[in-house]
Amino acid sequence: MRNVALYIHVPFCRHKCTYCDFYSITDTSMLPHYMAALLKEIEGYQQKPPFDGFSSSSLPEIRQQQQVFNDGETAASPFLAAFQTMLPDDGFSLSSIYFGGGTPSLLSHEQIFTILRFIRQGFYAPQDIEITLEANPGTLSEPSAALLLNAGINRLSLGVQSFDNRDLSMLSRIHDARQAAESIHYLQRANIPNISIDLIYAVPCQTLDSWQQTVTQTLQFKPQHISMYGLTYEPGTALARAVELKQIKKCDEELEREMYLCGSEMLTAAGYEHYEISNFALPGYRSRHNQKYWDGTAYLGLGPSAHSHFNHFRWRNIDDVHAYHQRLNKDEWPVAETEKLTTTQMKAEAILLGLRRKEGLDLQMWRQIFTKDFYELTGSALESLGGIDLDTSPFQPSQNGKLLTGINHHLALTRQGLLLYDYICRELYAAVA
Amino acid sequence: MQKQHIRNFCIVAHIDHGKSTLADRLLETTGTLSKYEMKDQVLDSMDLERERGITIKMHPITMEYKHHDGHTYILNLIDTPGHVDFTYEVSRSLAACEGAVLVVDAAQGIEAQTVSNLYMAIEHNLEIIPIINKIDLPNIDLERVKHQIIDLFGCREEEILLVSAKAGTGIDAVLQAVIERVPPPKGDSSQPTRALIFDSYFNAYRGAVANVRIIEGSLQENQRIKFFSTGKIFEIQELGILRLKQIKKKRLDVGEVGYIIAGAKEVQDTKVGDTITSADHPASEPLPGYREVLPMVFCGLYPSIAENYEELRAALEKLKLNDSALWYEPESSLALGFGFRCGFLGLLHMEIVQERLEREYDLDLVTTVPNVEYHVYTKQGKKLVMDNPANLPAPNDIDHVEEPYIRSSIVTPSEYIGSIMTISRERRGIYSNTEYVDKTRVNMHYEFPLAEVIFDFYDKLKSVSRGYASFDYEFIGFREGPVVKLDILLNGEAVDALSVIVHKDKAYDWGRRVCEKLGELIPRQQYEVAIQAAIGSKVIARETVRALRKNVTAKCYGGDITRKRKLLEKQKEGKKRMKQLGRVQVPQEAFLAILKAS
Repeated sequence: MRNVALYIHVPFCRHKCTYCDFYSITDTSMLPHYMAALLKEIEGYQQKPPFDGFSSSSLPEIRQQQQVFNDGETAASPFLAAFQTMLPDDGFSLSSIYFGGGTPSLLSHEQIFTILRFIRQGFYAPQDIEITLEANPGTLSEPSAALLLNAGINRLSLGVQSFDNRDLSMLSRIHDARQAAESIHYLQRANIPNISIDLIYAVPCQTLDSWQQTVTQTLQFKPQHISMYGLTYEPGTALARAVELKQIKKCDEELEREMYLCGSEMLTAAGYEHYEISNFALPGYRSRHNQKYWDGTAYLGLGPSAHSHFNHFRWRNIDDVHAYHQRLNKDEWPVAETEKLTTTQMKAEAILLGLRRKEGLDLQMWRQIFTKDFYELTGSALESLGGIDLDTSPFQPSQNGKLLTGINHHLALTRQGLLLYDYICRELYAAVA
Repeated sequence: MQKQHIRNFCIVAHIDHGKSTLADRLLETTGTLSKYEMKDQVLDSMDLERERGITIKMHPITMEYKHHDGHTYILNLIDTPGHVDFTYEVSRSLAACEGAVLVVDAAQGIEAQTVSNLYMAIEHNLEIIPIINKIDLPNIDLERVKHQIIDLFGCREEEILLVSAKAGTGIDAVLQAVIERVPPPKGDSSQPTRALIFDSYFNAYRGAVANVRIIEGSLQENQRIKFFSTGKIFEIQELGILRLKQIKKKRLDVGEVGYIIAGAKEVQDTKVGDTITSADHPASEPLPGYREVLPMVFCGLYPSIAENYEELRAALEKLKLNDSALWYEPESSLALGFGFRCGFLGLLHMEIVQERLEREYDLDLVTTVPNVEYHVYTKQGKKLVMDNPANLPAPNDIDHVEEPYIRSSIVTPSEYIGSIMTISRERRGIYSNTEYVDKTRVNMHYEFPLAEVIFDFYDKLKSVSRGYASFDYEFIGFREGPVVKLDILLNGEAVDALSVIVHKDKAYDWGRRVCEKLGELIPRQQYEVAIQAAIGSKVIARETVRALRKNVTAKCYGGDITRKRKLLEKQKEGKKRMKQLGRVQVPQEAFLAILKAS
C-alpha cells in the first residue's frame, strides 16, 4: 500500500479576504454540486486501478490538458496511463486528512461526516489519523465544535490572524478579536484535542507592540500549534492592487524582521518548537499533514484547484467549481495541468522544501537521488553566501553570522538564514541547476 | 558592349525615402527579375536590413532596357549605403557612376543625408536626376518639395520626375531619363587598366569577391592583377557581370561594372576604394580618393559565459573577412574576463556587428559603453592612443588629452532651430553657420566632439524636432578637450569595464546619474553595496543598495509547490545574466547603464 496525505479543498467563503489568493467563491448555492462532484472524485480512487470508474471517452480530453511533460516524455504520452501504472495494486493508505479552503467550516457536520465516510471507503485510514479542518472565527459555535469532533475532526486550524481589530479590518476578516477569543473557547470546551492558531504579522499599520500583544494573547490559550505568517502580497489580490495604487503602504522591512524574530522568541520561550520557517508546535504536536508537503512525499488533492504530488508527477485540479462539477458529472477527470518533474526541478524542490524545515536538507539523500555531492555542486555559491557554520543548531543564531549550518549530513538555516530563505534558495538553486 | 550604350548610376536617398522600393520597380520594369524571383527589397542582402526596413547596402545589379531610340542599353545600378557611418563607402560608389537618381520623399522633403550625399555626388561631377517619390501619399505639398529641390541645386522644374515607386507610376520615365541624361562612361580601353573597387565581400567558397567599375583599360580571365594599396598580386580566377546572380564572362571592358574573384582570402585584400591594375602593364597612378577606413567608435565585447571566448573570436574573425572597417583586438577586464576591444565606423555599425554576433553566431554578449579614441599626451611628452577608458593614465601624469571632432550638418524645419541650438550647446557643439534650404528649412552647421554625438544625440534631435530634423557628419580631426576619466567603484573596488571618459564639467552630473541607474539595476543582496563615482581618488557621487534584511516566502502549503519552483526557475534565468564582481552580483545591463543614464 502506498501511504499518502489527503487534501480536500473547500472553495467557499462568506467573504473574500483582501490578501487571499486561494481559490474560493462566496456563492454557496454551488455547495450541493460541489458535494456531489467531490464524492464522485473520491469514488474514482476506489477502483483498482483508480479511474477505471471514469469513462475512457474522457482520455482524449485529459491528453489535451497535459501541458508540461519533460524528461523525454512526449507531450502525447497519456498521463493517465502513466499514472495508472505507478499506482499501488492494493490502494492507498492515508497518513493524514486535511480540509483546507476557502472556509471548510462552512460545511455542515453532516457533510463532513459524509465526505469522511466516502474517504474511509476509498482509502485505508488508520483509527488515529490526523484529520484537520480549517475554520474561521465567526463560523463556529460551541455546539458546532462538538459536532465537528463527532464527525471525526480531531484537529482544528483556526484563522485568528490577529487579536487587534485594526489588523483584522485591514485584512477584511469577517470576525473581530472578541469572536476570535470566543471561538478558541468553544473549541477548547468541546475538547478538540489539537488546536492550531494562524497569525499574520507585518500587516500595514501594525506596530511591534500590537504584534506582541497578539502573540501574548494567543499564548494565553496554550494552543497545541501556532503558525505565524508574514503578510504576502500575492499578484491579483485586492491588497496587492491597493499597494500598487499607493492606497496602503507595506510594512517596513526592518519592522517585519523585528516582528518575526520577536514572535519566534516569544513562542520558543513558551515551550513551542520552531520546526518550520513559519510553524511552531508544543512537543508532539507538529502538523503531520503539512510536514508531508515539506518532506516532498506523496499527497493527493481533491476538490477544485487542489494540488497533488505522486511519483514525481505534480498535477492540479481546475480552479472553477462549475467546471469541476461538469467534468466529474461527465465522468471526466477534473485535472487542469500535469507535469512530470525533471531532475533539475526535483533539485529545486529539494532545496525549497528542505531548507524550510528545522531538519534541513538531507545531503545523504541528495547524494543517493542525484548521485552528486551537494557541497561539490554548490561550493562557490556556499562561499559567496558566507560559508557554513558547523557548530550552530538549525534555526539558532550563528555566532559568526553564517546563514547556513551543516550538522550530521544535513544543511539547515541558522537564525540569520531564516530571514533570507528566498535569497539562499536562489543562490543554491542557480548552482545546482 | 559599346560603351555609349552603358549607363552607370546610383540612387541617392535618405533612409525611408523609398530607395529599395524604387530599385525593386526598376528591376521589374526592365524584366531583370521574373515575378517569381521578386520579393520586397530584393537587393537587400541581410535579414537585418529587411527586418529593420533600412538598407545598409544593396547589391549592385545590371539591367537591360530597350529605349525608344531602338537601342538596348545596359544600366548598372550601384548602391550608396544610406547611413552616416558609411560615408566613405558612399563616396566610392559615387566614383563608380556617371549619374545619380536623387530620391526625395514627397511628404518629408529634403533631409540632411539627402543634402550631404547630393553634394558628394555633385563633387564627383555626377549628372543628377531629381525625382519626388511617394506622390500617391495624401496631403503632400508637391510645389514645396519641388522648390526645395530647385533651390538646392538649381535644376529646372521640368527636370524633376514624379514617381510613386510603391504604386509603380513614373518608372519608365526614370529609366528613360537615366539613358538620356546620364552620360556614357568615358575612359579609354587602350590605356593601362584601372578598375575601382566600390564594394567587396566575403564568400565562404570563393574568398573575397570585389565588385568593380572599369575606369580605364579592361580585365580578363586569368589576367595577373595588382592591388595598389597593398601591392599584392593575384590572378583573376573568374569575372563577370551582376544580375541577381553572377553571370560569368571572359572580359570586362572599359565603362563596365562587374565582379572579380582572384583568390584573395579576405576583404582586407580587396579594400573598397582601392584600384586594381594589370600586374604586367601597371598604370602609373591609382585612382584618386582611396583611404584607409579607420574605426571611430570603440567598445568592449565580452562573452556572457567565459567559455564562449573562443567562439566569439572565431565569429569576429569571420565577420572581419567581410568587413574591413571592423577592428578588434583581445583585451581583458577584471570585471568581465577575456573579451575584445572592437572598433566601428559608428554606432549603427556597432549595433549591426553586435546583432549579427548574437543572431548569426548565437552568442550572448556583454557590451561596455562605447567610446571614441583619445590622444593622451603625458607630462613626459609621450603621445598615447587610447581606445579604452580604463587604460587612461592617472590624472597627474596627463598633460592634455585630444578628442576627435566632427563637422555636422543638421537639416530641419526652421521652427526647431531654437531647441536644436539648445541640445547642441549641451553637447558642446560649436556653431558655425546656417543656410536656408528653402523658405521653411535650414541647414545648420555645427562642429561637435564626436563623443558627444555617439550616444543618443540622434534620438534627442529627432525628439526635439518631432522627427523632422536629420543629421549627417564627417570627421575633421583631433582637438584638445578638458576630459577626465570617471571611475565607478563597487564596494570600493573600481570596475574597469564601467570607466568612461567625459567632459570635466559634466562629470558630476554623469557620475550621479550613473550611480542612480546602477542603484536601480543592482538587486539587493546579502551585503550592502556601495556604488561610487570617482575622478582619480575623489569620490563625486554615491548610492547604496541596502542589504536584504528579510526575504522569506512565509507560506508554503496547500501543496502548490509548482508555483514556488517556477519562480525559482525564472529567477535563475535572471541570475545567469549576472556578473560576479567580488562579492557583488551585477546584471549585464549595468554595463550599458551610462547610456540609459544620459
